[in-house]
Amino acid sequence: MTLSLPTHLPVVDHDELHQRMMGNALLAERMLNKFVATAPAECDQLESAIRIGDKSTVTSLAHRHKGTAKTLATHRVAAAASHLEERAATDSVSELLALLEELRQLHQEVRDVVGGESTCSAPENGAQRP
Amino acid sequence: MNSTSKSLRVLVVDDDPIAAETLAYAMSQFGYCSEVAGDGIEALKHVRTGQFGIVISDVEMPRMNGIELCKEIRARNACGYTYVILLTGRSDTDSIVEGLDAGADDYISKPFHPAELQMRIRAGERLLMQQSRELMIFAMAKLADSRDNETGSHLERIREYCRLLCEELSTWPQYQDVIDGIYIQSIYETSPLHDIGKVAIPDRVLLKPGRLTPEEFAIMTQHAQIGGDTLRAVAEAYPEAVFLRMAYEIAMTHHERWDGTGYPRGLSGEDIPLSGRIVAVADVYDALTSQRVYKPAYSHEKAVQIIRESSGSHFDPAVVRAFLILEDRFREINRELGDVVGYTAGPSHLPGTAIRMA
Ligand SMILES: [Fe+2]
Repeated sequence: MTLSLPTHLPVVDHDELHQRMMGNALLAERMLNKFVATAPAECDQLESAIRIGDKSTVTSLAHRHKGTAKTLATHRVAAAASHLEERAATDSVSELLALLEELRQLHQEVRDVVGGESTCSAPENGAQRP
Repeated sequence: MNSTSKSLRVLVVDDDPIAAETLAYAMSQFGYCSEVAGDGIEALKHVRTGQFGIVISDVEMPRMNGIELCKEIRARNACGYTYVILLTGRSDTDSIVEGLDAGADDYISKPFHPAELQMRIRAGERLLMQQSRELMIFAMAKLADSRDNETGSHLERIREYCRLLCEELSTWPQYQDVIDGIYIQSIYETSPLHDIGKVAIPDRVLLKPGRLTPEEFAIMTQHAQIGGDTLRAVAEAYPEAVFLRMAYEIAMTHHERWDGTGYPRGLSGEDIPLSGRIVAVADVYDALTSQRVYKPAYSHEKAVQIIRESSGSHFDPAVVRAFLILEDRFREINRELGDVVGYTAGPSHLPGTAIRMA
């Protein structure tokens, strides 16, 4: 069973991200870069918590990751993190590791977007007052 | 572009660096200075500096979560009020209820919508401004009052009495259009200024035990005119500030009497502003039930009797009617906020001689 959103959705919703970053394309790009840079370490933390059966840490790490993903309008990442948070209480380590793997793949998708073209269609100096 | 001209400082508390930085950026766009803390413990250190008027905090954080942080802030409210906004998941009603119960002022769903957040912060800013204005006015009033009433809670009681009378009168058809929420808030804030003109009265008159000579009494009566003139000048300089206009009216007219025998101008009936007529009853009730250098404290019953008998002569009969309806509430406030004194049945003087109202 998977609660992930349909894979045809873009991994980053650029319009929403643009709005959340108040029109600042540079900020959006910087935040996405920060996200892909810190994601592997967060996944490693999650992996060790899963392996030692520290369910509350799995819950809180997954919860925080979900929040970060929502802030960056990466909804499929948020859905995967949310799924991990919901399933954190299970005793099945393999199930959780599989969910984590799904999360890592999504991070790779975000990384591909960030490494590719500009992440935002807005002008680079687009810091707009609300 | 950052514009950080506003003096309000905002503390952003979130263990997610990306969310925290996004929030901090939004603050700079709204024109506020902000600081970021990664959890409740770190946030508390910042709050204790007294520099932050508003705290925007995530709920789920390690070490100390947002709800615990809120409780801690409320438990040690040393440096004025801190306005707390919690960031919660959209469907997380449990933590919303828990947060509001812990003393949070507002909550906003996470991730935030910039325009909504800005509105919520403005609401907080308005509340903080009103609160600091209230504190400022009260501090001024206390300073003036401290010369002849160093330890008493006279001003705290006066504003409670005035608010009670207004709340009652506002339910009467003839006052519904006059007394609204702003009126009640204004009288609560400005009634403590009624005797501000006493700063100009010399000690030998202000602090004299016993009865005043006619010459001394004449000096004493000047406090209404002096206070009124001072506040009128301020009110004229800031005509949009409704509460200053009321402060002026109260200082000037709280010793006018319904029958026209009061001072300083001898106004009568409805020529006396309603705020002045309300403060007159509150002030006399408090003077009667308090001990002063020139008189002992009268019992509540005695004070009620005197006020009832002065309806239509000293006082507006409508305000006295409201007072008599609220009599028990007055007694409660007098007990709660009363200065510790023994009551006496009161000497058998006429009210005009028994109390030296000034
Ligand atoms: Fe007075």
